[in-house]
Amino acid sequence: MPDWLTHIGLAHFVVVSVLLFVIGLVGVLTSRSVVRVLLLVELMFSAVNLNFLAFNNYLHPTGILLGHVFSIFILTVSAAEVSVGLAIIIALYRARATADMEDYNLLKW
Amino acid sequence: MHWFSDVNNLWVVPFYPLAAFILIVLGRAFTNGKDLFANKGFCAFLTIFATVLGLLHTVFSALPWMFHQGSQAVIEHNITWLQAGDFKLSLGYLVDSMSVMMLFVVTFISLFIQVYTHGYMKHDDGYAKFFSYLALFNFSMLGLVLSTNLFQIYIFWELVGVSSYLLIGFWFKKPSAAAACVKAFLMNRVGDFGFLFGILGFLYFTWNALPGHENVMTWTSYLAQHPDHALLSFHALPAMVQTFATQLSGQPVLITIIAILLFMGPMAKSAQLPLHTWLPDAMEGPTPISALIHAATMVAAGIYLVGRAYPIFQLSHDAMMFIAVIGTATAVVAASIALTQYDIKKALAYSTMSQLGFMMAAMGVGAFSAGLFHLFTHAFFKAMLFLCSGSVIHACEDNQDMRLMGGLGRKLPITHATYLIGCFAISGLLWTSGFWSKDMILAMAKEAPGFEFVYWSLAITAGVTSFYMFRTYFMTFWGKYRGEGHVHHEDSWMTLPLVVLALPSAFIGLLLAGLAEFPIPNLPSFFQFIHFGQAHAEHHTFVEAAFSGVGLLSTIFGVSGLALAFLFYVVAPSIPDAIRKAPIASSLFALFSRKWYFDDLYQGFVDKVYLAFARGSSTFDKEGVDGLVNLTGRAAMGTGSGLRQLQSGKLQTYVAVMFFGVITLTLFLFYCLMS
Repeated sequence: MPDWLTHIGLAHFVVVSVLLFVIGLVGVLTSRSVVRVLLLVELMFSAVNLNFLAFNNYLHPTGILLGHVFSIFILTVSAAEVSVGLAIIIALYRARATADMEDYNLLKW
Repeated sequence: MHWFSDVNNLWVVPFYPLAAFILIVLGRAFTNGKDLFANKGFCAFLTIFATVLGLLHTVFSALPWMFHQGSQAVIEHNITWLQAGDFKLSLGYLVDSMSVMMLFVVTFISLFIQVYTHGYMKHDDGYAKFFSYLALFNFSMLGLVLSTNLFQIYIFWELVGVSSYLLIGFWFKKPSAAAACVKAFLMNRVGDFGFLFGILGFLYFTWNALPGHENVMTWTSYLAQHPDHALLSFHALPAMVQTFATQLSGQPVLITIIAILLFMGPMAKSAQLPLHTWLPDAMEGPTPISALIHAATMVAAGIYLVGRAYPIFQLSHDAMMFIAVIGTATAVVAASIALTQYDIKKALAYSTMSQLGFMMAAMGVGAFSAGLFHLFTHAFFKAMLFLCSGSVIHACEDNQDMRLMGGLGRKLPITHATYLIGCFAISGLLWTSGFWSKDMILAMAKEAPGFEFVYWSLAITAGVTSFYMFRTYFMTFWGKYRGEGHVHHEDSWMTLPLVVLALPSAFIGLLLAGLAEFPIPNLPSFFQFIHFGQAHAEHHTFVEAAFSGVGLLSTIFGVSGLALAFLFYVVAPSIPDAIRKAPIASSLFALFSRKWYFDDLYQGFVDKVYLAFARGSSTFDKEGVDGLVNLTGRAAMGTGSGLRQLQSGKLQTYVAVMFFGVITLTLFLFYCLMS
């Protein structure tokens, strides 16, 4: 068994976190559905949370839970954000009768 | 009566008409023209009463004071109006023989013209307004007369201008009247521009001692010694003029220029060439105004000012020559135009202008007393002539064209008689007042070295004057009535002032100039009180000349003018038409009847030069200046419209840009930290 499979370290967590973030980012940039964009934003939040936890464990293997506190805080905020985001999406849908990102171009010059 | 007889109360004279003006204006504003102020008689009464009070003051305090004190007596009081450091402007009142003479002329003539106005404007809608303007004019004119200094006179100078503007445009619904009042205002603006620059120029060179002249008396040192005196006061002018001459001894041209600038004010106000064109047009105003403002008083203010500032003009021989030439040219040109006028008021207006030219020429040749004496006598007979013309126009139902008059002598006997007296007076015949004043000017001009051309031009013009005045007389009062309408009878409110004014027109010259030669004790003579430099010097020259050649010659010219007019307009009325068609005379007639093309010249100047320049400036402003300003706006808008292409409205693009921006910044930061 190769070494990187037997010893799970910081790098693994970071790689997973980067993968999650890039998946989320590519999804946000390419999705047409606004609901999917919202979901993928949540995915990017998870990547960040994972990063916080991994680095907290790496830097303070015993005791201090600074990263944990941060990630719980982010979860709370993102829950609130999702509810507000969904409300906005519903309002947008009512106004424009579409959920397609391409059609939300009110800010165009 | 004690109040009236104290000469120190004379300052109150201008305030009577001012009070009347304010009362009428406010009264009508607060009662909406109802109640007492709707009563025409009441408004007339207020104005006339104010003038009567002024006349009482003049007659009971100023005249006795002057006779008692002699020509050198002066009463002057000043209050400081505004002060900034050493510089202070004062308002005050100055009583000396000159201002007393003008006070008498203004209040006396005003009074009778106001009485006349009651008859003339009886049926006009603006009756009360007219009287309030008359009161305003009286205030301004009396204030001008009593001014102690050049600044104060400038203020009242503008005020009489405003009153004149209001009264010329009194019938402002008539387009010609509206245009005439604007024209009068604009022409006077040109003159006042020079006047103000003259005042400031004079002040500039007398305010402080210039290097090299530390010991001269300047206004600064003068006011430090006499804190109760006024800056630029007439009283101090003779002394200050010495300073002026000393400080500018290296540049006599500058003295002449400043004197001529100062003279521009009188040039416009007294309708001298080339700023005269407003006066004939001013006849659009009601006739009492033409009589009061544009014949007797306001237009004479220019002569009065030249008299007041005489020391300044006397410094420069060239400036005096300029004044004499302008005056003579005005007298000649105006008389020639008067020959061709058919409008009775226009003819009288040009004769006024011509007589003002006589006065101005007199001032120019140094005949100070003669000029002011002519002002004095002219005020009476010209006011009366205008009032006569008003009576004629009234009788002919507002017709002013003499070709449609004629034979009015029987219908208007009093107007006829007084007009005849006026014609004799202005022509200087029969020892009426004009004889004394005009011949005095002629005699002085003849004696003045280097001014012979003034004498000859004026003597011939005097003959022409007689011709055109009797022309109007014969055309109006003799022959058959050529008009169509009914001829109204005279109004007694209008004939009374005519009779009263006829007396001084006939006798005042004899009284104040003629009889002065006889050894009657205590008989006042005009020249005893109004003179510049040596008293009597002018007068004796005059008397010698008048009873030898000058008087005889001018009488011959006058009588021939009268005879020619009789021949042309009574005996053989076909002659004028024949002359008009003769080859050379026809072009002369065109020249005269087109007023020597002055109006056309100004119109052409405005159209071709001024408006072209204005259009050029306007284009420069619109295209050049505005273009530059608009360019900055356009540049901002262009940049904006280029940049806003980035705003695609696609949220995902924004997210991508943001993300890669953050990456780039992070890498940059990283690179910086590493190195």
